[in-house]
Amino acid sequence: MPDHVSVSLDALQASADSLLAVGLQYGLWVEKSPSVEEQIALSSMSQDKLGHARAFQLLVHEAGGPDPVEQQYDRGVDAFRWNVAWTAPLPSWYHLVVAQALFGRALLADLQAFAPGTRPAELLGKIVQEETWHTRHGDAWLASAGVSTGGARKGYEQALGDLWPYAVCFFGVEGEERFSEDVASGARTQDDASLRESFLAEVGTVLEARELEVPSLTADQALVEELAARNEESVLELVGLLQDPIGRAMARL
Amino acid sequence: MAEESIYEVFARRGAEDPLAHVGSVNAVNGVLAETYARALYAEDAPWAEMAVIPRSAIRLIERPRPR
Repeated sequence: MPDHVSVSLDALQASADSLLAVGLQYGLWVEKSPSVEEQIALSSMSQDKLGHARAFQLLVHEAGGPDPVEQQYDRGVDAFRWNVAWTAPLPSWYHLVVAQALFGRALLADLQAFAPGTRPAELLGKIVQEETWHTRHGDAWLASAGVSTGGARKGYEQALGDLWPYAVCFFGVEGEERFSEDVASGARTQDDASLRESFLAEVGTVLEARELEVPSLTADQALVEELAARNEESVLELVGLLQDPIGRAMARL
Repeated sequence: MAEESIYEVFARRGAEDPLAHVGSVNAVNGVLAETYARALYAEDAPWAEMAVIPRSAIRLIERPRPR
C-alpha cells in the first residue's frame, strides 16, 4: 500500500459534510423544479453529490473518525462541519442556480486543493468531472440573467445580493486559515488567501459578463457569524431531513 | 424566465455505430440542453458520442406527406 500524505480529520469531515449539504439542498428542490428536464437533472445532481459525500465519509472513517452511519445520524446540529455557504436558505429557483454557479466553482477549487498523494486526490477524477457539469448547469441559468428583463432579472439580482456574502466567506475569514495543519504539511496545495483571490477574480469576470454587480465585502468573523445566524432554520431543516427517525432506524438494521 | 427551445439529441454507442436520434429536450440554451441530455439519456449507459442540436437549426429536405 503506497504511503499517503495524511489529511486532517477536520478537512475530510468538512468536505464530506459540505457535499452532503449540497446533495440535500438539491434534493429539496427536485419537486419544485420548473420543468420535467430540471427535475431529472437536479435529482441526478443530488444523487451525484450524495455519492461524493459518501466517498468522503468513508475517508473520515478510514482516518479514525466515526463511521458513515454515525456521521449521518448520530451527530448533533453543531457537530456538522459544512461550509456556511451550502446551508444558506435558498427560497427561490434563482437562489438555487446562483448558489450552484457561485459555490459550485468554489467547491471545485476547494476539492482540487487536496495535494496529489492524498487519499481525497485519488477520488477526484470522477468527482471533478461531475462537479464541473453541475457548475455549468448553474452558469447556464446565470447566462440567461444577462438577457433577462423584468421579474426574472430582479430574481437573479435578489438571489445574488442574498448569496454574495456567502461567496465572500466561502474560504473562511481573511487573515485566518481553515486547514492550517494541511497547508503546513503539504496536504493542501493552496492556502485560503490564494483560493479566495482566484475564486473572486473568476466570479468577477462571470458576473461582469452578465452585467451583474455585487457589493464589496470583507470576509470577517462578524460576517461569518451573521451568516450562521441567517442559516439557523435551514440547518435545522437539513438535519431534520437527515436524521428522520425512520431513516435512522433503517440505517441500523 | 427565458423562452425554451426544443433540442434534438443524437448519440452513438461505439465509435463504429451510426449516430442515432435518441430523443429531445426542452431548454432555454445549449448548455442546459447538454445537461438535460446527459441526465436523461446518458446516466445508465455511456455513449461514445452524444450531441444536441436546436430543432430550429435542422433544415428539412423532405417533409412527410399527409396520408
